[in-house]
Amino acid sequence: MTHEEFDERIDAYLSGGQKGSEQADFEAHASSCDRCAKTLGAAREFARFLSGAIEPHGPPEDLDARILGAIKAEGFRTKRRFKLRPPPIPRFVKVAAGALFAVGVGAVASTPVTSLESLRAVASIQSDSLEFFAEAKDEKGGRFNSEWESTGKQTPSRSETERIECDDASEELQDSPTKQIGTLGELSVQKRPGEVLKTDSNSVTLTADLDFATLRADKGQETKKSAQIRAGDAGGRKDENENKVDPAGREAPDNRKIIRSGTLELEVDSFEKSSHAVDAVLKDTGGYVASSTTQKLPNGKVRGEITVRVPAERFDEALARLRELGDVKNQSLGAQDVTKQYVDLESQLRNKRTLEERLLELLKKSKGNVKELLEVEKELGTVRAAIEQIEGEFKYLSHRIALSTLTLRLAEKEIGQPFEYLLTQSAQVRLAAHDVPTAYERAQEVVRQAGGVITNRNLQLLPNHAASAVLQARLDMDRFPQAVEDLKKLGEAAEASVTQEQQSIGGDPDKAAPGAPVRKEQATIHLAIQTPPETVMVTATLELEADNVRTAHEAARGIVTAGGSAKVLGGGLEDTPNSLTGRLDVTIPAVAFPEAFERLKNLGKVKTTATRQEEPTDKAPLRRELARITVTIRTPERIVTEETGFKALFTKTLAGTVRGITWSARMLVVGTAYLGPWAVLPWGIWKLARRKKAAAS
Amino acid sequence: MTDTQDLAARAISGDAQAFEGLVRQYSRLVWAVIYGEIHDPGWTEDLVQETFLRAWKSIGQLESPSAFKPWMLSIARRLAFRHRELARSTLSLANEPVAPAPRPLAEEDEAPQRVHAAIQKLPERERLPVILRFLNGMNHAEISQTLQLSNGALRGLLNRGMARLRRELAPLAREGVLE
Repeated sequence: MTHEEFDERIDAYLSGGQKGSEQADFEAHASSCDRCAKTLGAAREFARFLSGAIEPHGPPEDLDARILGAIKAEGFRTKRRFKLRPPPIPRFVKVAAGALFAVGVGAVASTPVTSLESLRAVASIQSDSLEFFAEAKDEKGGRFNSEWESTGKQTPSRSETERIECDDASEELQDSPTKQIGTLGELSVQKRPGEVLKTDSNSVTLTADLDFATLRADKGQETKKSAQIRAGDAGGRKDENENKVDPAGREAPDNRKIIRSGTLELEVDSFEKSSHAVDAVLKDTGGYVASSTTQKLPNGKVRGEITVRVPAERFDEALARLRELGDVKNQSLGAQDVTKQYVDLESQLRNKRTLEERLLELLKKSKGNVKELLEVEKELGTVRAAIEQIEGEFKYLSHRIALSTLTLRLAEKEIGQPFEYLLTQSAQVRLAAHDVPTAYERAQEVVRQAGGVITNRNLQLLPNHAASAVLQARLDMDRFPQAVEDLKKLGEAAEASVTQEQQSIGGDPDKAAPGAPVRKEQATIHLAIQTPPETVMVTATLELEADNVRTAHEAARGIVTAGGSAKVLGGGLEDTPNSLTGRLDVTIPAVAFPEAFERLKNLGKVKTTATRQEEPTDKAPLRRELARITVTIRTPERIVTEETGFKALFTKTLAGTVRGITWSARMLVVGTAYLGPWAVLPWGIWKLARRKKAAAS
Repeated sequence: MTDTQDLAARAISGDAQAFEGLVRQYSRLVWAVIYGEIHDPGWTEDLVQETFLRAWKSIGQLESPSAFKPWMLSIARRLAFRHRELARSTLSLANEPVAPAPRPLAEEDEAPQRVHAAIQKLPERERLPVILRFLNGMNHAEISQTLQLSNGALRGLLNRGMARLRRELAPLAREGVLE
């Protein structure tokens, strides 16, 4: 047998569906296979859970007997099967024209009827009598609801049965010229011009010249057999007229239909005992449990909800007795008046039933053709469907009226009492250490030695020799304080807090019972280790003069970065026409400061120097102390002295002479260049004059 | 023609004795179908009676005896649905207490509701075996007879239905707060 086959058979096996060799195979596999044995156990467990959860609300033992009883009460009636017979039925009953049927409407009005809001009538004409069922409402909502049978004054000539149904508002009846006010099959009843609806204090008359009859509904006719008033707004209408107008001389019974329901919250000593007591009360009062749920809380207390249905007339009695079961914490009762719905349904039902009867009669007696019979059958089907639906609603409503619903919420006393406390401890430790990785390793060591479990850890190395580490661990509560102390020694503690929390399980902490056990949960540690913050403790400025700024600047850089922990903040060479300036802004560890500063001073001629000790701005227990040095290196200023003596005089004079000769020579050249052209001109003229003289002589 | 069909045929022709046989045969099934929809034992019993009453009244219209079971179950379902509609709409007010509702005890007791909801979510083919087994307390053979299923077919349905429920309700079952 494969695992899949096994799985498929589990539920069948558990419900007893594996027989003989199948069962043997199954059990053999279960005992030989670990995995399948587990699956079977889980399935069995689940089945137990399921049957516990849904509680065997199964059908009662005597379900069949009850069903059969109900059917017998209705009577194992002979079924009605309708056979289609060939003879045709008349399309409608032909009654001698003008024949008047006085039809009594049992209008038992407490106030004069001035107008009708609706008139609903079902009339049937039989061979020797006329049956009429009508229901009328006046505009105030008062209701006439009558049922009677009357013997017609005129005997119809035919023995068929017909039915007229009208349902409309009188206003419309009077105003519209032609109004269809009811139909049955192919028979229609219409109001035509000239037909009027008259109402007065004691009669409702619809005089309509119908195809076959005039229908008049009068109040107080001797034909009336019984009448009853049911007022929807019984309160307002139960006035002094009521008795006077009741034709049967009876007091109108209180037919108000009320659905009652309620909720009762009780605190009891024992749920189980109370539950039995509830059963006893229900047995006495004829009620039953509709549903019940129970829940056992972790503290062993039980609470539950029982919904019971009790016959309405014994509701108060049951309620009084149930209240005695414990301390009443809360009670709410509700009532809903459904008289109107009830009466509506009731009359609808009666209407439809009458209609059904008539249709049946029609079928039995008629000799109609197949088509017409089919139509009647169809109509019958519609009516029956309607009856079925109304019956359903009616029954539902009746059931709700007959049985009141009470929801009992039972809770055992001290239900809020916690059954245990849970103690949780946790520590938050933040450490500063110069050597984070080492501290991190040692912290893990501490946790391991305390028998703890590391749940989370992380080490992060940052630039500039900084690092941060996180460690989370759980360990037993008794070794927890020592471990926290040990951890604190690994560095300077910036923060260390231990919190302890006691939580109540399974109840209200305010109602704590003394002596409830305390369960200790493993303590948690959150440890964070970080490199301490950097703080500038010394600031120094140095101004130097050096003949070779470039070299001195290079040398200064070399000095500060020698330890490898310097951080250059700024600086560089600045070249202007008259001078060269080198700058350097740097932080170095405070410990290296004195030596470095001395060496820097030797790089040139010290112009200014300043050193200041800073106060720390934070309150960190541990810090990395730094010194900040700003160095400026310049070329020296040229300061020239006056030279004296003969040598100087000679040099000066010679220099003057040389300058004079040079100037003269320059002037000579310039003068020649300017004057030369002018000297050529007189020479030319002179030459020309000599040539003329020579020629003349 | 099976026994049940024979009974149905006789009931159709008006044999009250035969109808009684049908009631005995099907009452648990009808019960399970209706309970699966409405979860109220009181009402379920009422509606079961109503179902058979209606079935008896109009069994004459039935043409084929083999149609009896589906037809009867359709009556049952219709009644159950209508009941649900009614309970939801028209009369829901009746259940509401006039006084402000009392504060429910600490936490809502929801396990049974969740179980019921899970059962109701199953397709009907799988739901009926589960209801018959756990609410009616039937064994495998009884269920297969009631549902007229072969042993193997029922095994499959029961297995699928229970697997679905286990998946759905596993967390709830683990909590195990339920008695």
